[in-house]
Amino acid sequence: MPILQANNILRKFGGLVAVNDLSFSMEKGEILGIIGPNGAGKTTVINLMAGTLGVNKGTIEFKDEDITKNAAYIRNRKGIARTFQIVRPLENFTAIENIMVGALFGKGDKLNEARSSAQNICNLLNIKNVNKHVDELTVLELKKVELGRALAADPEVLFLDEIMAGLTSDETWELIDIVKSLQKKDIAISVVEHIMKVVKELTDRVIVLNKGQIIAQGPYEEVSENKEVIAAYLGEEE
Amino acid sequence: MRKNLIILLLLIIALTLPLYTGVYILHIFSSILIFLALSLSWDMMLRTGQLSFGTAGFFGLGAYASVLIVVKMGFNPILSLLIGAIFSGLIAFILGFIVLRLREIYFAITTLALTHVFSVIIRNFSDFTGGASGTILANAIFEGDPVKIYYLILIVAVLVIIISEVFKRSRIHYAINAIRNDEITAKSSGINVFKYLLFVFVVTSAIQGLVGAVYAHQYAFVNPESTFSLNFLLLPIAMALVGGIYSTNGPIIGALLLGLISEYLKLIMPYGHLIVYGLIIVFVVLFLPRGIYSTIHNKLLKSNIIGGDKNANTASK
Amino acid sequence: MSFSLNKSYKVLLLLVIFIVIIGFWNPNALLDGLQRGSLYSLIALPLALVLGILGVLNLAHGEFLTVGLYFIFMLNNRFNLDPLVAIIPTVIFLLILGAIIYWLTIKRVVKEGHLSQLLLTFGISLILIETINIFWTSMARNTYTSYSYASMEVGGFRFGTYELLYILIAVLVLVGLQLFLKKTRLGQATFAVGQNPKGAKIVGINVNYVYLFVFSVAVAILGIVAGAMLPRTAIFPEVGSPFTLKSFALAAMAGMGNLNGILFAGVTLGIGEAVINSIPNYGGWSDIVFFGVLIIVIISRSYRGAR
Repeated sequence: MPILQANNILRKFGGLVAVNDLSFSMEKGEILGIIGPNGAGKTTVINLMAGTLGVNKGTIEFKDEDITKNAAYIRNRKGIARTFQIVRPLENFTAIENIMVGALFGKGDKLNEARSSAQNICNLLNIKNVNKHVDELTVLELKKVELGRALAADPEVLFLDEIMAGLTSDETWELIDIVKSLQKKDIAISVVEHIMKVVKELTDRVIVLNKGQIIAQGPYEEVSENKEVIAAYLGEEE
Repeated sequence: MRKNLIILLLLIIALTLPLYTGVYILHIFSSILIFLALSLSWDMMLRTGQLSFGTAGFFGLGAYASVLIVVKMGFNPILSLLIGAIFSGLIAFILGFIVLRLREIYFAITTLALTHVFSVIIRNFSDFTGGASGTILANAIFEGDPVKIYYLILIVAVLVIIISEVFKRSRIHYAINAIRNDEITAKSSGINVFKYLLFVFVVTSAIQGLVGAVYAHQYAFVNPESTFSLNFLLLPIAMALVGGIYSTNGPIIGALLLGLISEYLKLIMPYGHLIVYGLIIVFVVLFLPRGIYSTIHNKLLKSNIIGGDKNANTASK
Repeated sequence: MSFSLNKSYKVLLLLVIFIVIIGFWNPNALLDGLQRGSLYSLIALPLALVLGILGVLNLAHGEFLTVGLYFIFMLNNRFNLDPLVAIIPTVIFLLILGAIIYWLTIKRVVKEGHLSQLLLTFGISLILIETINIFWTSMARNTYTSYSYASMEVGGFRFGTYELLYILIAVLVLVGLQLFLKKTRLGQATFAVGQNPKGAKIVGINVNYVYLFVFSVAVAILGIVAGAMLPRTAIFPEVGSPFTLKSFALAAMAGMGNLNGILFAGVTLGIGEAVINSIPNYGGWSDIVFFGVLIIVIISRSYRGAR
């Protein structure tokens, strides 16, 4: 039974249809890759599922409950967390305080509980400079803080938007291991990724978007042979 | 530990002030405490990222509500102060549903326009409010006893300081700081942005209403011109800026500093002594965007003279 | 930003119908409203220009007008210069004052957030008011000219002729600004900077110079307004202050950068104010017109933007 399901969702920006009649679902303990050329609507899909944007048509179900009309903060409390493509740390907080925000409001911890939950997450993600301000952190640390804030809400569904972008090869492997360890905790994870090596390594299944629609889905190895997918990516190369 | 001692010392000085000072000094400190409370309330709203220019408006509403309920319905003056707070809070609650959808310049301008609207409405319901000439109370609160009035204002100021500290030390701090920083991140981290904005808007407006009520009962009159004076907006802003925004200590230090300076200038410069506020606002915006308190505090922090105070640290950012 | 007249025809038509109806119903209010409206638009134009090009809402706008009024008052009082003649030195004086204030303060916050800009200009407004307080105290002052209460009669309907000057000046300043923006190199540079400061910089326009120029000219235009206003206005240190918010109301109503719209908005609100003002016992409510409209416009825009 899927934990999160999108039914025929549609989103327009002015005249442009960014996501068109899209349906897909996510299962517990599964890592779903969302790939596609630039402008295919990948980030918009995350925005719609997390409630950052509203859908124009269609419904979204989380654990058999219709959450289409729920605001982003309610979805987060129910168990849907996300990271942002361009990290959005809270700049007047330290690393651990950023993560505490997720625990305080996403999970509903009390202040002292939040501090220890955040500390646990820092240990899990191997964040060392917990009391540094975010403007003093490295790119990898910022990505981890972003991931940590999402995890602190104790989510059942997690969307990771290009979390590997801008990292060195070693750093990427470190994060891949972390994401795999999250999978073992039965979280349904969805990754938007441009680096195909990461997609291949990480995902159980991928959906390929082009112009807001799914053009192929299945295991990465299968999909990467698909002619339509290759055409869509080639179209981007021009 | 040393910090607690300083607070205790200041509290003792404040409590014993009437024992060794005359009416004039007491009056000056009463006025400084009034502006201190306004300044803190303005800063508390600013911590959410919303620049309010409505301070004078809610101050005036509270003043009018408490005076009118005494004059027209014979309410107990002390209780009427609470009415002032509740009335301002209630109006803020209703208006909040509309104006808190606005951001930045639009929120600022709309709150300023609301201040004018309040004063026009009050001026024109002259049968009830006394119109342009205002309404006079038969008696100032406590028969105008300056010592009792000073203690009343001190209680209000301490109450506001406590509220500000509660804001800084509770989950409210994390919510509003996150909202100021990045609303989208805040929303996707489970924060009900509107609820927190409304809560802070109502609390700060109620404080402004309470302070307005106390002020009106101190001078035993209200009139649209002076009760809605923009001084109740500008001076608190200048004080918070001078001390340092996003903190409790900043507005306190700013209020004391500017209050004393302007009181001195008033003596040697009967017209235009408020120029010092303008000069300070301009100077601080251009050269000390973190305010005096935070600038000094940060310098000391960097040189490790005082330990890492987390609140002050996050406050100065 | 759109400086075009294309979309304005419908608005213009509505305005004409509105004016004709008011004219039949209450000709006095119509004339009063036209005069007020022209004056409001005239004061709002430079504010909108600074807002549109620099992106700075100048909260000291009304105080610059006050400074202009006092400068002309002083020239009239000391040197017996006619207010309308005194416009020339006043415009020069304000041009320099505006340039100095831009260079020393505004320049540093143009690229900063709105908080700094609003607070800075708020501070400047306080300095200007208090400086006037120091020199002239808070006493209200009047200027007498022989022509300011001249009136004429048309078909049994008597009205003051002096305020017609406001309408004339408003139209002249608007046309002058439009011609400047469209026909001169500096005007086109200004237009480009307003559209896209980064792009303008790339094509070699000195953005800072354009900002300096626009801000100074905006302040200087208030000198013309001050000269026209003084003969009919008692002045005191806060005389100009209400015009800041009223000007912003017009700019917001017209839409950012729409200079023609400001004249329409100004005349509409001016007439609205005059009509309410002419109702016995309810005249005091006229002050609410601007603020009410301002709040409604801002909020309805925010709802439309949210969708």
